[in-house]
Amino acid sequence: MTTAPPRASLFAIVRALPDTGVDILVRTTRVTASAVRVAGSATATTLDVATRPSPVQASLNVIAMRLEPSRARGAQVRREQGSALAAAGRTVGDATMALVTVVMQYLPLNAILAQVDLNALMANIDLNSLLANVDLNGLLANIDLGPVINSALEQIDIGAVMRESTSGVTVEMRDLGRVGAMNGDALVSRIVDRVLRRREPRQDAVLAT
Amino acid sequence: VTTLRERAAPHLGRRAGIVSRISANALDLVVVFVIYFAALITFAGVRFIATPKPLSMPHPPNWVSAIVLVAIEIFYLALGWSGERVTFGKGLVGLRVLSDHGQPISFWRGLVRAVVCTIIGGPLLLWAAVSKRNAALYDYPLKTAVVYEWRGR
Repeated sequence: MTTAPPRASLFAIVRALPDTGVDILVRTTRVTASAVRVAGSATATTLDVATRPSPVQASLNVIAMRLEPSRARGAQVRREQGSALAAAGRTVGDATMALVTVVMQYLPLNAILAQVDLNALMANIDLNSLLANVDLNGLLANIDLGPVINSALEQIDIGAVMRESTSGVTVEMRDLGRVGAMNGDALVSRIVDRVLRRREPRQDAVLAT
Repeated sequence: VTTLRERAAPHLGRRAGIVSRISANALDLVVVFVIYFAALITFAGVRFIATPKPLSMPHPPNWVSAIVLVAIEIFYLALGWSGERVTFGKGLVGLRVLSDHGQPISFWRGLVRAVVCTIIGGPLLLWAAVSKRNAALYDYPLKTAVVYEWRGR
């Protein structure tokens, strides 16, 4: 025969509330502490795993260490082959220049240049447009012409130049007068010979001794 | 472009015509007058230094001036035509007096030529315009010729 559970009164429930609250608080605290511990342990594990070299990394390090001597030998070989290649390049370059020099000696450069119409080339060049792009004023502004002119004038014997030019003008005038007199002689001779109906030229050469 | 000398080259050594010769003679005549006036000035200076007379140009009679001028011209031309020399006028125009064989003439032949030229040279020179050899009338007996010869540079 089953006995009915005792019926709890409201009063009893109210009296049990403080103990229940304390128990719940204690249990909650324990659960929280346990959770904190678990979380801390997990964090530590994670950090440990993260900082500890993985097996793969360790394997790679071992492989790298084993490969280092081979890598060093390969680099040395590569440097030596590079030097040899550069030396070979210089040798080939020198030989090519020597060959070109020999070929240039046998090329008929004068004949080739003689066939180049430099006048036609120059005619195609518009010097005016080229010079229009040159800022002569700017160039001259950057040149201190004073010392240049002084240096040039120091090397010129102005007196000699003046004497030479004056003498040259005088000689030119004298020769001009002489040629004028010669032309006058020829003109008079032609007129007289025409009047006298002479056909032979004048025998104006002095007799040979 | 041919230079003046290149244009003249074919004529050098040949007998000169009348225009060149008259030009040279005119220049030589100027030189004779210059020499005469230089002589007058020299005479005035010497007289001023040597005598108490004031400095003044002498005024010789015309006949004296004529005789002195003729003498100067004869001597000047004789000297300038003979040997390797040339007178100022002929040198400036580019002429020279030679024998008709192309040789320099002697002083005496130059002197005779100068006398003839000074006294009656003008009219006789005109014949050079007509002569086939560009010779003045006095060139025939004296066997002389005036040729183009450019001296100096």
